[in-house]
Amino acid sequence: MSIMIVDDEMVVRESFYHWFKQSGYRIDTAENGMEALKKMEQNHIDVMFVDIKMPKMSGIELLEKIKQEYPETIVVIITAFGSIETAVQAMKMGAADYLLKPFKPEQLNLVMEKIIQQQKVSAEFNYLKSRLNQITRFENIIGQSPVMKKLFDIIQEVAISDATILILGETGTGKELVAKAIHAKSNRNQCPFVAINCGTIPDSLMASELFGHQKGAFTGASNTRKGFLEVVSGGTLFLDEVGEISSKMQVDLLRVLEDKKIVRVGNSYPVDVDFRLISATRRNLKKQMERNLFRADFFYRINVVTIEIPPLRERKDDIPLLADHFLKKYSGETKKQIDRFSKNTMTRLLGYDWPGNVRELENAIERAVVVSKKKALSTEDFPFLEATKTGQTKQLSLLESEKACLCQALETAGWNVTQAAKLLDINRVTLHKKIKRYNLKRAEH
Amino acid sequence: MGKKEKFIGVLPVGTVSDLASKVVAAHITSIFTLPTKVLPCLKHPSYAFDKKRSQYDAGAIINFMENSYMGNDEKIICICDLDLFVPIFTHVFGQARQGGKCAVVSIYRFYAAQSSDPDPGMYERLAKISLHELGHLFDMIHCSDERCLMHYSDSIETLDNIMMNFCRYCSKAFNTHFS
Repeated sequence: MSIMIVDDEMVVRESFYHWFKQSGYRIDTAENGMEALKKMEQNHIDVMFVDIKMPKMSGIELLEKIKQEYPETIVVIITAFGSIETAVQAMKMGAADYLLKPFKPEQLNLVMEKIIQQQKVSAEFNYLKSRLNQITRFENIIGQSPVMKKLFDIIQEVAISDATILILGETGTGKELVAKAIHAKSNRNQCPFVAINCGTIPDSLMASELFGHQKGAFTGASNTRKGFLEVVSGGTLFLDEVGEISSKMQVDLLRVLEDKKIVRVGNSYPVDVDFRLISATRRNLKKQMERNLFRADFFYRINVVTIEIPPLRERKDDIPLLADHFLKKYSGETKKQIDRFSKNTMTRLLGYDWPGNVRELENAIERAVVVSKKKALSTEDFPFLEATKTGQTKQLSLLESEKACLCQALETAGWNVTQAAKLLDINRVTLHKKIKRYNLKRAEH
Repeated sequence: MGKKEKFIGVLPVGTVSDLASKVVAAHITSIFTLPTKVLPCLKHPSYAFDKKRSQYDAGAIINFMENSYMGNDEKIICICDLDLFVPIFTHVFGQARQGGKCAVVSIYRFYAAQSSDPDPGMYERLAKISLHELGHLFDMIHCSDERCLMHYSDSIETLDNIMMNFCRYCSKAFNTHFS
């Protein structure tokens, strides 16, 4: 347990110092409140003994700051006879106890016993809280909102079957995590889980990557190589961004799914394959089908079960849970003692739309942990929140931006087209054309 | 320096009885198995007297001893018959600094209540508190075992409950200090 004594009298600091040192505590001292706060930025303090009467910053002021910035630190007030009222005020402000100088040794012992007991209860609470976190997590997918609980149920149900699954969700929602969770819960969990991002493999290489090739099949094929469909044998193949696959490859894969056989590039002998297919996309495949960009037969083959992961803005209840998880993860990795968000930060995080979903939240917190020098993350550590303070979180398209810009100029110029054109630095005729194109009309007052 | 070469000085201060110093020296020899020597008595420590509290500042006695007493002893235990205090506490039975050179203990609070008559247990208490403070000089810390000499005693009752020996963990810590 780490203890700090804050008292302007050196003899008091020394007395405490020797007593605690003899009891094996880690002990530090500070002459005043400012020094104490400075030291606390560097080291975590469990218990603080604070004198009420000190120059520069009184014990009460220091207590207020400690309770704001480091609420888990236990504060015991040291006071002289005659300032009991202030001590009572301190207790109301969150001090754990007070000691009237000079006190009997057994009084300090009693206070310490009480604190140790309090810390045990707090440790127990934290343990139970972490157990609760485990319950609200599902194979690394975190969420306690109703939509996520429903998702956990679906994963559990579909995992045991061998049906193909199509996971839909915006970028950063955790489609691969869901696929991994299904694999982990399935009977195939002893076999490999192979994930391929179809968007990153050029079309010309896709066949060779999936089916493998024989030595000499094409220039550069110096060795015979197994494809992912062979490597995955018995396991689960996860095709991320399946909407990026070319029509020809869709036909080839459809055949594999039906025959459970592949033929390596440059070979003519079929090889049996056994895998479960899970696909994912952020695209609207039905619209792509309508535009003939995606084959209907392949769509229905890979889409026996559809799982839709809601974007983060539709499950904002999960943001505090996710934020805490990422904060713990990155403060641990960076060995920084950052353990909470300051007062308004969580409200602001909840108010943001997170277009990049969980991935964006994770990256934002990782960045904030890296740059922060305090024990609590504040809104300053999330610059993008400052930029969207006006509430405009939605990214406007070029056309929308132009329309908004024209409207603003026209309103400023009181719908005087000549003046508005000057403001926009464009020709008056051009502005007329744009007004007509966007069908802009003066709002009636 | 080997264990046999350690030397503990027992230093009477003021009007403390010869018997008190001899009892402490005998217990140190017996429990710590270290050679001890009862040193010539020092005069009353008036420099440590605090008029406001009518008590003697244990820290001031230790400071004085550490700064001015130039004996060849390894560690020194000052034995006195004064009401000792440290600024935060109403009183202390004894005081030492962790790993320091000198400790001070007092028999003052071990007399029978409301009397200056000798209490049959007072020399035993004095020996226990002396061994405890000496333990601190050898860098030993407080022990949670209520029967161990290194257990912190905040009252006569707690002190009386302590046995005249270290628990096995503190014994090990003590032996490690010399190894």
